[in-house]
Amino acid sequence: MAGYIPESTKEIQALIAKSYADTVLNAFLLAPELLATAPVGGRADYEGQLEMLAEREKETRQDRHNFISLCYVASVEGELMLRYARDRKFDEGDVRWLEDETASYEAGLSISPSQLGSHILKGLNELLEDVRSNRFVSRSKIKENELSQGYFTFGGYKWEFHGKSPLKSYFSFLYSVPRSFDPGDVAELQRRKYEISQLADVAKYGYDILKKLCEKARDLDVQTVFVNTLLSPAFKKRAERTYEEGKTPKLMQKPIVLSGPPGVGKTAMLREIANWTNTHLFSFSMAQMDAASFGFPVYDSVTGSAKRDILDDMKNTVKSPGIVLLDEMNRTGTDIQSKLLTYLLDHKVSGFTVHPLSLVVGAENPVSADPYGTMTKSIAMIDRCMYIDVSNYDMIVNGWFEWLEETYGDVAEEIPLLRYFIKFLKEEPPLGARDIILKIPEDPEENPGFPTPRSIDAVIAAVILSHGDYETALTEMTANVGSEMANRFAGYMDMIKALPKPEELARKADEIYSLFAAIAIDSDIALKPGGAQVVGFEKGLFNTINGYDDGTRNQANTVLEKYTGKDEEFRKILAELNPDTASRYIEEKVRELYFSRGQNFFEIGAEAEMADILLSAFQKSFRDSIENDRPIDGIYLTNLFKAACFFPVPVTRNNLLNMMERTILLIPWLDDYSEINDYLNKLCHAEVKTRKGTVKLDETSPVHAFFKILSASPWLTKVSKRFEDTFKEVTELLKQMERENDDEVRVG
Amino acid sequence: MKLELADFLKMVCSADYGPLDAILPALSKMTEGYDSISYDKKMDYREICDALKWLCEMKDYGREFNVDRKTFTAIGKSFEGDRQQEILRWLIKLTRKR
Repeated sequence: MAGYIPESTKEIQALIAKSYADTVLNAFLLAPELLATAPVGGRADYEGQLEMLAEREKETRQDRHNFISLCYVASVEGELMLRYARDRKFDEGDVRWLEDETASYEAGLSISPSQLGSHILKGLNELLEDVRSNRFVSRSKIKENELSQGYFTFGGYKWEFHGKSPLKSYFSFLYSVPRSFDPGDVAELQRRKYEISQLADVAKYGYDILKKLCEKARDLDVQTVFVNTLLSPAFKKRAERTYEEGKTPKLMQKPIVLSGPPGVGKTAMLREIANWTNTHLFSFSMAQMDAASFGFPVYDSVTGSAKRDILDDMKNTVKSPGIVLLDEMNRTGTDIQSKLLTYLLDHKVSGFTVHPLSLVVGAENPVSADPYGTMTKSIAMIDRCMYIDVSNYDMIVNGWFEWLEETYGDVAEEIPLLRYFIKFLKEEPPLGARDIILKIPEDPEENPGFPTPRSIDAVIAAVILSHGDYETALTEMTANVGSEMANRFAGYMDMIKALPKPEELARKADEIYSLFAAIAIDSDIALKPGGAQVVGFEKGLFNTINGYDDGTRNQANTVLEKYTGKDEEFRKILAELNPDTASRYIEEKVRELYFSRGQNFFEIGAEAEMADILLSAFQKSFRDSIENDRPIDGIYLTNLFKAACFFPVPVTRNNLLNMMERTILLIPWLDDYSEINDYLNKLCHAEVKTRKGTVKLDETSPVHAFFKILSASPWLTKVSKRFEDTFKEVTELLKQMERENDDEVRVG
Repeated sequence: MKLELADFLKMVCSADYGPLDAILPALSKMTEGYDSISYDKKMDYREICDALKWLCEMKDYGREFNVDRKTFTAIGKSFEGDRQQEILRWLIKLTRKR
């Protein structure tokens, strides 16, 4: 079945984020105490929502703290009661447990003292005394009496309960255990104890998860999906009325089921959302489940041991917030499907409730992808879920490429092999592997390794963990994604290894006069077998240099006249400079720089890789220096920049130079304005290695610092119109950033 | 000074008594003087994920720890398959610069 067909993977992520936000808002409806602290606000854009969330978080902090503290007390009392109920008495181990708990609380309190905390510590010590002196049962009677009057005290602190408070009902049950013990009480106590700890988590993490979802929704910027992270004031009032009527309010939600072929990244997409929100991903393959797997440990009333088969992670879905993925849903029989439906819709596992801050998502392979393994789904399930089609090839692959850049961009800077691997994946054949991604072989059993986002992710993990070891990468690739991709990658890397090294390019560029780099920028170069040919120059270029073109300009304004250096040889070159001599010089330098290894890399379409070598070396050198407060290597950067000026493909050359300029002036790896500003200030006072030794800058603007770092800049500005134009553009952007004082300036 | 991952998780347990916006300053105070993470004591999968999650919370809050290459590899290689992917995702989030 197809289901909803999204336009992009971002849209799917936004839909999941929306569903998760609804889940978290629903969690605030679980108790009147939580409802009182819920994030409330009118409809607003994401920035507005973030402001309201922050405000409301601050406003409710004390109330949430009180509630969390009460839940903590409830959980300690609950644990003690469980220990008591098993043997109807305490042993040394139980006393030690309470002593440890009290000591741990005291340690925490010493770091962040509070009045309420002191009460709780006092209460813990009193409780310890009661346990040691066998007063626990009589204490329960006193507590039952307090509860009947609508309050609860601990260490001298008094909490009053709302009539429908789940804590009141919990405490009432808890303290009734010694009086009217029933063997089933242990399991019930365990279940309720989990629920109380879940409620505390809502007060603890609810706001944080909502804020992170809201930030992500803002960054995803998907127009078709609006993620709301606030309850409307009207809904809150209605929910309060529902409580008064003796019912529990609830927002309607339809669970999401992702439907797509194996390996397209459904799990990765959900893992990403868990990662945004700092929660866990719990993934279960339904094909591996049987009815017993849905069981949950229930203490045997006599032995206290778990009596059913359990999966540890199933248990953890009750304890911690996260994303719960029920994978391969349509590979289960009807007996499991009914349990699955309860899990998906009511979040119940064998009587226990999945953490209310958890989003439960289903996933399945479409029948077409696995005709023999899939089972018929029940109509009830189809009707109650929102199916999202995740099978559009271009959407998946493009979304995945974006994700790769975002996720591994930083790591790839440190591990060149990973950088090349990602580039290789994106590249079209014959150089790259784009055409074979997600091409599942007709006989997958005979060829188990094929390239899907999931199997490629396993290769990436191996590359990262081996710190870019080439042999490991090839072995993992053959095993995980098949020999075709591994062979292609080996060929790709052979080509990369044969490309000139950045140090070699920098060394050769060191011999080049900056004036010619400036002329090269504005020259039109055409590739030819084994070299390049200059086919023209920017109009007016030689007029600017020496008045050669038409001789009408004032000679005093020519670059030649402005040159005041003592280099006689250079003066001679300038005097003889004309389009012919310049063309010959540039062609010769292009040959030396890019064609000296006897192979025309441009012929095989490796220009992007060649440009990448220059840019990566430039960015790495600059970033390492500025981030680690080391002197900026102005000589190396200038030489790389000069080499880029001779790049024989004009469009790529322009992009390359743009990126280099922006690397220094706009710190493109940062998003936050204040951080960019800090770095630019650092730049103005950085130490720079120059031919005259290391100098410390004392500049008032990053633009001036740029000129000091790239010593070729004065020539470039005087001669190259393109350089002057883009430089003005970047400078203007910089000024605009200062003027707007924008918190989130996007530069790229 | 290096902070063992398992000891960091113990600190989390000692601080985990209030809302997140109160836990993080307390954890920050508890970890004063430590600048990097080490991993010499074996931990189970959920404990590692929990500890890394909390380190990410700390990072979001503005308190960062260095994770050197050796530690990164040791933690990353402690499990395989999907569990390794999950751990790796946390490690990458923890160590990414932007």
